[in-house]
Amino acid sequence: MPRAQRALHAAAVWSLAAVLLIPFAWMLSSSLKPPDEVFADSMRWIPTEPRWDNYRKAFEEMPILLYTRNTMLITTLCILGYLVSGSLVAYSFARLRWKGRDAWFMVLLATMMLPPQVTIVPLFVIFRKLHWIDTFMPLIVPAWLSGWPFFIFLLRQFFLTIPHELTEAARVDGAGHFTIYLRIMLPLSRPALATVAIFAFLLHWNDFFGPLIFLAQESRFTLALGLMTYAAKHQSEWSILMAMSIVMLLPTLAVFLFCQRYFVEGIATTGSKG
Amino acid sequence: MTSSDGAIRSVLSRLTLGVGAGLTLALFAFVRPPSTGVEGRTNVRLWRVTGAEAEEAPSWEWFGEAQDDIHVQKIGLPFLEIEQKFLTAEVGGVPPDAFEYFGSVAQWSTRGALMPLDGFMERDGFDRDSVFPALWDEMMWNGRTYAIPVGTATEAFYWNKEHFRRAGLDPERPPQTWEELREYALLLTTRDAAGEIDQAGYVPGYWSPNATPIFLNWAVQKGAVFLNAEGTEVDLTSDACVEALEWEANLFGELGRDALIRKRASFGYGSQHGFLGGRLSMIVQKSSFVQEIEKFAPDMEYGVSMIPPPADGRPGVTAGPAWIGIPSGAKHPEEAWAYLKFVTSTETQLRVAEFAADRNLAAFFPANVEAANSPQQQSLPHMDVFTKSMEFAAPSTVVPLAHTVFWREYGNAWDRAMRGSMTPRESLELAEREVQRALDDQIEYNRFYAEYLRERDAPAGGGAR
Amino acid sequence: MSRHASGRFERQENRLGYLFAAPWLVGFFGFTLIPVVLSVYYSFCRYDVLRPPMYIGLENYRYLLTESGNFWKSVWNTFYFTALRVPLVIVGSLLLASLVSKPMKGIGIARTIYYMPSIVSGVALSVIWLWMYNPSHGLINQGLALLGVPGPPWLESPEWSKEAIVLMGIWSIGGGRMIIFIAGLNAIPRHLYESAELDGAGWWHRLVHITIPQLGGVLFLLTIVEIVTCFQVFTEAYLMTRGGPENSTLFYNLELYFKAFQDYDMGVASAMAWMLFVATLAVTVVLFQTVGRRIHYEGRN
Repeated sequence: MPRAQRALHAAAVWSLAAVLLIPFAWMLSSSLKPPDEVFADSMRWIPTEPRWDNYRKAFEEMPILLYTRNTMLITTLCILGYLVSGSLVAYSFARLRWKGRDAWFMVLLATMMLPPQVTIVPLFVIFRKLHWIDTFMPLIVPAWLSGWPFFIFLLRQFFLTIPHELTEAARVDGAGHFTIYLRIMLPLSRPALATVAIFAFLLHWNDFFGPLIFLAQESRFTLALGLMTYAAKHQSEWSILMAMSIVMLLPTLAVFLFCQRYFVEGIATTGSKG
Repeated sequence: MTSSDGAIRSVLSRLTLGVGAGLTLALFAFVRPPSTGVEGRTNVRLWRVTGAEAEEAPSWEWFGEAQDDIHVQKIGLPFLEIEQKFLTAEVGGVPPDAFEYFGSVAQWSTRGALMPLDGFMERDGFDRDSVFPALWDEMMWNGRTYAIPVGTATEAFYWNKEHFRRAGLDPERPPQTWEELREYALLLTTRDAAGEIDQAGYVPGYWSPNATPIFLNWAVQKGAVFLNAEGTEVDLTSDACVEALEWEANLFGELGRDALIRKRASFGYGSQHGFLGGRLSMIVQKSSFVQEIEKFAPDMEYGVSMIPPPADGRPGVTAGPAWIGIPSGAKHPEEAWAYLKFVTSTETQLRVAEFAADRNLAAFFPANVEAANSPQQQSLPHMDVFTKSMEFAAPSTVVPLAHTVFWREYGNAWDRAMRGSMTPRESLELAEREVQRALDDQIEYNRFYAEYLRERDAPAGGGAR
Repeated sequence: MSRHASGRFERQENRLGYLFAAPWLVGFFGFTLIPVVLSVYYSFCRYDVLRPPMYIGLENYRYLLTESGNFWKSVWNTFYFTALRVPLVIVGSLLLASLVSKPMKGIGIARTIYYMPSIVSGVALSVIWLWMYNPSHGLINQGLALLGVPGPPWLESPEWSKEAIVLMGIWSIGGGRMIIFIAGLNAIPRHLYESAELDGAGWWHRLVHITIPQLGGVLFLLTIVEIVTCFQVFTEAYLMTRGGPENSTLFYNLELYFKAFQDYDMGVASAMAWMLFVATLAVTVVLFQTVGRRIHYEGRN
């Protein structure tokens, strides 16, 4: 590429990056302003005097730590659930021969098409029969039963790429399927498992619909639901709301920055192989 | 990637992982849900609506001081969420022990979500006459009582005296009729060079950003009756309704529809509220608005009067009772009832009035007759206006069995007429169809449910009832 | 290996297969199949969860299709939203991808920035953009005012509310879709471009005759994913506008939610869910039958 064209290209890349960052910057700036300045001087990017107190107030006005704990509990257990159950099921689809396997796999693919709205009302009724309403169970148990078939699909595709020779050697040594799954497949599939873990993290950390439907008591709220509830009560407290949003965003941002590789690989896989 | 890069990266990611895991563990170790109860006391969970603005008389705390056996845990939920959360809790079998709310009792009582209170009331000799008799109607279903009225919120007309003065109007004299309201609105509206509204005199239907259209008030003044006596036919297309909506829509158009919508969109909450921010001269708002004025615009010179009626109409306003009930399946109904008795007692209601008088709050009109007429209550700001309004009050729960559908369709009808995408009559016709359909459904479903209950109880109950 | 032993072996593997797949099978029956069956049943009932269901046949479907104004309004809104957002997101993310697909200094950082909005949750996203779209104090109208353009009231006006949510959606999802396109772009063999350049083909020619056909599969798949996503839009509208103003953001799923959890009309909501499923399926099948086939054909050439 000629130099001028390269410079132009770089300019385009970075100016677009700047535009995409604006909402973040504005959120940060708003979160540090006193209430009157948020309105009077909303275009001032650097607050006259940064108000870190807004963050203290955010923690005071909403039990952020409690909601973080709830969200973390749900998210962690869900990730574990997807990893354990998802990999087992994926193994059976990728490496075991059983009657009706291919038909069941078609069913699995079909369920990926089903809009969640179809099942939400009956699920509400079923969870009620199980006495699970207003507990974390409706949010966690489905993950242990592979409630997000896409993850099985992703893991199966990865398992298929692992050479048969590796597992056959173990078989000759007398290893059973469970040993192969545990000792060979899982260690070799770390990147795929990481991808699943990260997607599951985002999915449940940010989940709003599930908690909205299934949780009733404020002490059980998740961060997303708590933020929404606070926003419904205090619609003009923009600086506090922005501070809360940032607090909620930070863990995702940290996970994202450190696990970027798996994000990118995971998404790329879904696109080219899906 | 160089190997040192990789090493740094791996150290960094391990570090983050460690810190993350540490934080997580700390969260689980140290953060617990707030302790819900008090040692040695039965915990009664009370759900009620909380907003940002109002200071409330803490009856639950007083109750805790008055006896040693029961602790009332107050849980506040935002208005927009509380009904859905209540349904969730009720369906899930984990309802609160007491539920304080306003709006339709019937939509819960007909579904069996509230407990009939008659047994408790008879046993303890609850004095029904202590409460304004008109308020009981909405608490009843099939001859049983499902909730006890706590208070009433009504609406009134507020004006900014300073704006009146500047426009050459008598600051002590609010508009007396619709026609005067229109004249004043035109007079008080100022525009900049580009034709944009600077100061709005009046914005029809503006309440706060999540608008509650106040059109019901106008229709009531015209003499509209929204539901027949049997409760089976919805009427939103009576001449009274249509004329009221036409009047409002015309005024909206006359003031400049687009400019008005832009102006309204610029209003926010708190100090950004149109009236509180001094950018709007006249507004119809709830009785507790006084409190918001005190909080956000303490220096404002304002007046309060009854909502002006049409020249050929009568004074009128809608008022909705707040009530408290015990959800079916509550864990501690007996203890909840003790709290209900306490909070609705004349003694407590008087104390609420006193609490409000001490702080100069004007939030609520007590349901209790004695408290309402008490000197404390009457000393509250502008109470004379609210007391007078109550004489002309019509219930704001217009179609109890299809309450949510009614409010939604009514809001849509109003919105369509204001924006001119439909004529008021067409718009009301559309709304009426939807509400009627929802009402028919509910009536049919209620019949089915009654039948179901009869069949279910027949063999076991042996004709006990 | 004797026949007998192999049969035992097969039986064992068969058992093991079901055992490994058990979590999903249990989940499928308990949380998918049974709910699906129940949902069909509820769609023929009047049902509010608190009282037992009352069978009413096809009434819910009849009501929705012939009587309900809100239903058709929500269908129209969703359709409009989809038609507006799908092409914009596809073109936008392809544009992003083409900007950062080739190596350059700091490309990793640029990609990270482009992707960052995708991790913002629906709730935080809505809160942030509600503030951005504030008609008088929001960043967007303040910015427009600096340019001398009077901004519309965005979420407060029926003419701009859907557009506002679409714009926000592009910011939020563009980077995520971009990653897929980057993978796709990098998989296109270099020599195709080189020989085209030798033939003197301009960038437009290369785009139409190489890039798009070569990306065909990815492009097609993403379009379908995007359509399905649009059909299911909920959180933004629920949090930002509650369907207003004048029902202009009453999307299908929002109406479904209102019916189910505000009016407690689970029957109508179930019927709506089924119609959504059928519509999604129909659109997908039609696209696969028409566009999908041609893409595979061209891909092979």
